[in-house]
Amino acid sequence: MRFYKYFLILIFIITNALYSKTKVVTTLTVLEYITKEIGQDKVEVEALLPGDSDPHFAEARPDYILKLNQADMLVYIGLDLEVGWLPKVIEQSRNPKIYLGQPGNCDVSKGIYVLEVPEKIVDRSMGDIHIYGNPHYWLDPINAVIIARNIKDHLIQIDPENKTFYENNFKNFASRIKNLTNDLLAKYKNLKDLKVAVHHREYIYLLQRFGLKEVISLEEKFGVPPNANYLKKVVDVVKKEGVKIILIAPYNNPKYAEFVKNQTNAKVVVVPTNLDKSIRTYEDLIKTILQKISEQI
Amino acid sequence: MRKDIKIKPLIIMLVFFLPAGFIRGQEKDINKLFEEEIQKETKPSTTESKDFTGRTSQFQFQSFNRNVYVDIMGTVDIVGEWDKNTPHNTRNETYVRSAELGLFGAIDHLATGTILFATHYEDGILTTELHEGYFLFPATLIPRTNIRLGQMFPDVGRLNVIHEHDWPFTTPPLVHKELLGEEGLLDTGIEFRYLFPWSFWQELSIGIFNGKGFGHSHGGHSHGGHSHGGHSHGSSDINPFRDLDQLLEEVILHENQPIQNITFDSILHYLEETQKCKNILNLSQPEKIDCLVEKYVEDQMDAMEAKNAQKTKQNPLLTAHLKHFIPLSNYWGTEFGFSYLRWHPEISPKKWNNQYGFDFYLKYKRGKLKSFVWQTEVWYRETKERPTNRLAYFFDENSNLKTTLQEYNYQFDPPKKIEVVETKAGFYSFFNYQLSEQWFIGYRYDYLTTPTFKKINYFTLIPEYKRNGMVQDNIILTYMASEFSYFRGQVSTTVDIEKNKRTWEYYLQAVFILGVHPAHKY
Repeated sequence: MRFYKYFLILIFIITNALYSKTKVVTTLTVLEYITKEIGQDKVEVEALLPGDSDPHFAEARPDYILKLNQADMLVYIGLDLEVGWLPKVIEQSRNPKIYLGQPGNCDVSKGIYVLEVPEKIVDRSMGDIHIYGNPHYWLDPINAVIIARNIKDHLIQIDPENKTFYENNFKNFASRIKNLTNDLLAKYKNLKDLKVAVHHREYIYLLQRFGLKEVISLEEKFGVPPNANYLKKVVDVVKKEGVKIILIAPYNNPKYAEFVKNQTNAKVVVVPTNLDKSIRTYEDLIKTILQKISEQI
Repeated sequence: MRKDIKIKPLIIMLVFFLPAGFIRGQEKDINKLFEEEIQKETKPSTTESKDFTGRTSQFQFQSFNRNVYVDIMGTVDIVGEWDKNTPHNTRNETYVRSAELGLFGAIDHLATGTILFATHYEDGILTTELHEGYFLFPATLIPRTNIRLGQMFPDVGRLNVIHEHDWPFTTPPLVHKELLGEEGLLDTGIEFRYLFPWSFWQELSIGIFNGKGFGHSHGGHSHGGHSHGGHSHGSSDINPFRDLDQLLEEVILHENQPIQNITFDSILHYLEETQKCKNILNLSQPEKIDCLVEKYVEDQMDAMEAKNAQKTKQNPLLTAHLKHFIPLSNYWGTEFGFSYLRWHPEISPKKWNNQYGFDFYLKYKRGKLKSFVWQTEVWYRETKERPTNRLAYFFDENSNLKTTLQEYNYQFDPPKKIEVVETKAGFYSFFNYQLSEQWFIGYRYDYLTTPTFKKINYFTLIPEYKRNGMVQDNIILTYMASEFSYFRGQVSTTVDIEKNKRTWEYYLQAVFILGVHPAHKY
């Protein structure tokens, strides 16, 4: 009887070990999607932040700590995007597997061609500036491939037995994104050289990839609400340059864009920056943004 | 005509071939870029030219091209406070309440280190001291357990682990000030924070500290503040033993005569009330004198021991905090916890304090545009006493008073039961609503009382319970210029229930932070 009991426990442990999935926690929903694409049924993935939240101003919630405590791998954007809350969550997670330098700590900014890296000495008089450059790089499809490559590399380190599986998934994903990009470039070639204003400079990668021109930001200094004088300047520039679109994210304060809209002929377009309940895939995210812009011109 | 012939094919080329060629060229570039990135899989990831680590600070020392990874932080907390009360409850001036300089970073593969110096007013004098200095072992020694070792603000309640300049109000809640200290409880020891392996977040902190001091103050209110009717120093607002040497002599010589506005009877009642000499009122006159002398000797010994308290006190402070978090949605969450502290307020082990706390926090936060906070802490303290020794006194051959500690004879004179000699209780409840991107309005209600507070009725000469305590209402308006500076105004009105007196105080506060500002707790 005792033998059977031990035998069953042994079977349970072996089965559990064989079929256990790599638990991955990501900061953003877009990373959750890409990780699922690479890991598929070998991973369990969960994003900390909902799709419509501002990743700059999230908080070190205890349930995030719990999720990281149970994770084999953490995937995050890096470049200080999550600096206001993620280091605290990692410290409190009590999970050495995801500490800096470990295979479970996956900073997907590695290899990204970062835009707007400060070339001079910067300080906070310039606002909440990102000293490593603009961290909103995931909206460029090529960077999605680089993100996927980083995730794939870390998954292979954690689970080397499935190396071929992850590599094939990466190739498939990269191929899909390449085709998507070509399709979208062809479909939205009319957007080339379209002048737009933005609230925060989080669309620069996407705009650059698809040939749109960012003329001005509603924030005079990063993360600092604009004052009336600066908004007048924005209005003048928007009129002078013939800007038709003002892009804002769902979590931006809309009143500044509305002010400029009321003074000019520009239209305010609220576009997502992440996946949510209505946008389930990365492909849909890019398509939705371009479609929303295209509809307004 | 020739001209037309030459131009037409050119136009046709421009119209039909160039865009297609452009798109094909762009496709080629895009495809090339994609292929390059896909091919990079074969290269070791370490060969990338840039390795972004997402460090927490832009202020890092660069030494011999080597990053030492030390984050530095400096803060200045400027407060202006005014009132028209007599006597003043505030300093009636603007001053730098505190300035802090901190260093944070990884020590080695096992621990991170925190060093924080603070310059602040201590009894009206600007002094600098080590505020916090501790190791943090983030589960590198014991699984699921973060260990802090050194000088720190122990993890009890909610406000105690948050630095004063990060509080959402200018002045400390009355209950916090009275039961934990002006800024909070600060001590040296070791603290373990264990994260339970449940499907919900539950954390237990247990700490053991020196316990040689209790509470920590930057002395902002040392020139006045709320005295709480002397509650903090005993259960009565009179203390006939302030100058016991003279008093005893005069009491014995001038029985029933008023001495320094204190009558012999009032002293007897005080002794009865404080349980120093039980049933003294029913004693004979020689016994009363005998009891007084005993008290005198006891006080003399306590005073002597208090002088050496820092050297000899061995009674530790024990802390525990059990915390829970319930996520209500992506934006709503609630955290609540139960705290316990045990320490000896005096050098003698026969007296100890048990302090119990409950903290509750409800928060809604959506990006930087919308937020709401409800924060409450309830604290209750009881001081218990168990007499283990009694004092014997005698006169030596030179008629000098001598004392000795004499063990109880348990058989014939069993020790008294453990008694609660004093209790204190209070709470605060704070609501903070974000009006707009940078403006917040808050309200805080404070209540503090001493349930065991008694006062001698000078007509009946019997100590009686007296309704007492402080009630405070605070309105707080905050302008957050950025994450690194804010400006605040606070109006407070306090009612002393015992004296039935209302006072008003006005505060302005400005805080700035240089360098890295570590992420806040939830």
